[in-house]
Amino acid sequence: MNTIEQRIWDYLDNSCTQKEHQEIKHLIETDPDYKTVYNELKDLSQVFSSIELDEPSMGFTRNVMNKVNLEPLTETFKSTTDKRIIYGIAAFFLLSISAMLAVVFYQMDWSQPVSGTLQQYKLPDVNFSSYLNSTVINSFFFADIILALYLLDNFLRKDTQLTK
Amino acid sequence: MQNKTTDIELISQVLAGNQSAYAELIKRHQRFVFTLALRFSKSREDAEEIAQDCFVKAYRSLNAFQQTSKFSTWLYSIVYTTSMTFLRKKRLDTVDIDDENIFVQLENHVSDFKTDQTEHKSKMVYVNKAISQLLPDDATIITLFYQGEQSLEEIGKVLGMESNTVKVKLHRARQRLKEKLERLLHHEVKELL
Repeated sequence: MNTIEQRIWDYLDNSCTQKEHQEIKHLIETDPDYKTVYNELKDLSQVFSSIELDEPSMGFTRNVMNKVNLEPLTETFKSTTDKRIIYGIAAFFLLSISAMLAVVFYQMDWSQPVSGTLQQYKLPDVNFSSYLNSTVINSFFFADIILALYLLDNFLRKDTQLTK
Repeated sequence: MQNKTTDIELISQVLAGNQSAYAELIKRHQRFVFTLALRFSKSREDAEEIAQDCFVKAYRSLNAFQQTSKFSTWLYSIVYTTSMTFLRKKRLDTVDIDDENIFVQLENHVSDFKTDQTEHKSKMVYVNKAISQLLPDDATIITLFYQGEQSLEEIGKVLGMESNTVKVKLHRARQRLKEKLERLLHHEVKELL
């Protein structure tokens, strides 16, 4: 590329200093070579600027939004959650647990029994075999199968939407 | 007076949970993103896929957008990276064919755009044909500068280059486009311009 062309492109792009701009402007007005190149490049620049953008298909936005809707929301909002809220919730639970422990310890009778032996405590007898009959087990397996089918269906639906 | 919501306001709305605001962002930028993708892929189907992929990627990392540059500049850098990855994958499929040959083959591609006889006469058809014959980098720089209204610094951010390098590349790209136009139009170029 010759120097005149380069300088005029800089002039047209406004990518030269103010001093250079004035200098080139003066040259265009006085030097016929500069004027010819300037006119040619100015027209060319107008042609480049008038290039039209291509249009995607009609359903482009809808297709993107379908994909976007499948994205987990938490990823987008993770950093927008104010950390003070999380710290506040943590502080509330810590204070509640501490207060509860303090009350429990305060009300506890720390004096040991004179005899030094603990009273025997017998757990109540529970007969589990009366609850675990065949009907209960069958119902449990049936519920499991229904749940497994439901989860499989959800998984396949999501997979199909992603591959579309 | 029209009170148009800015890109930054729309991003804030999306981050606040209003997903539909993202549709507005897509509508605003889809034509440019699609055109940029088309400069690389040379096929409408591939360009559409790349463009969709770019918008999904942008959505995923929307909270990583620092707002130190324009949203469009940030989005175009995603388009550039995604398109380059696409091109690299495509090149792996056609290892024995060099760039020049690819683009010689692609010269006939413009006929896919179903332009009628009248359009063939128009200036834009020749310019679009000339642009489609440029190397993707040249076509991208010209598109970003003239259609994307990005400054040399912003183009530098998109392409990961210094603005002075962009300036030199832009000069060369324009020169090549001019030569392609002259070749296409032979003696008609003077008349056209």
